Amino acid sequence: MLDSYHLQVLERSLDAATLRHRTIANNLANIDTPQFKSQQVIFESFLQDELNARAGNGKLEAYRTNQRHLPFGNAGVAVPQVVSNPNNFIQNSGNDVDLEAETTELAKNQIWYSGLTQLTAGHFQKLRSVIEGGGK
Amino acid sequence: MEMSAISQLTPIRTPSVNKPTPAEVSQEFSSFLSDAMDKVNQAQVESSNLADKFAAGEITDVHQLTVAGQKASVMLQMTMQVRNKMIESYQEIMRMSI
Repeated sequence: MLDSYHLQVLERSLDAATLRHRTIANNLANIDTPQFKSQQVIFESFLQDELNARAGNGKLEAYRTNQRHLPFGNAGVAVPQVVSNPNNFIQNSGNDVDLEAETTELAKNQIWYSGLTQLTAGHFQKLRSVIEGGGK
Repeated sequence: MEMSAISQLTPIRTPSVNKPTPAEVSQEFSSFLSDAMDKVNQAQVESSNLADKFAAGEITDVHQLTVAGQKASVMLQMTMQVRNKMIESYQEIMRMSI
């Protein structure tokens, strides 16, 4: 009951939201650091692939750098990944933090996070109300 | 006083439907109940699918999610109240002194 797939998805998404928040805070803190490259968290597309693979509409394929690598299908769990583009720069110091873009991402992430917390709370509330009651 | 109108009334006659047997009634009720349960379950599944999609960033309109979630939760509460009433009435019958 507490290991249901739905709850796992919610938990992992909350992890990703926390990670993204931390990454954005790090980017903003380093807005004046020369040669700093901003970092982004990729998660939603992985989760989408996983959900599609689960529904049977396509496969989550392993990334292969060599043809001789063994392919494996459904990798299972979507894990957030932190990426950055080392060749990108916006300021003259080689830094590529864009204040507006970062604050927009921060706001989006906050809405997403609060939505996820509400869903998780609702899920637990449902479970609790099913458990309680009955012959009083 | 005009009383003739009352004579025009036809006596109430119960419509002659063939009365269902108790077995049929209980069968009907059980299928009705299981249909209702299926509907509740379907609403739960739909709501959690939408929630998964929201987690995957597919849903941009949060209101769809909230409405579906509230629907599912109200249906579940309704079901639980029915369950509670059933158990209550069962206990009431059990307490009855014959």
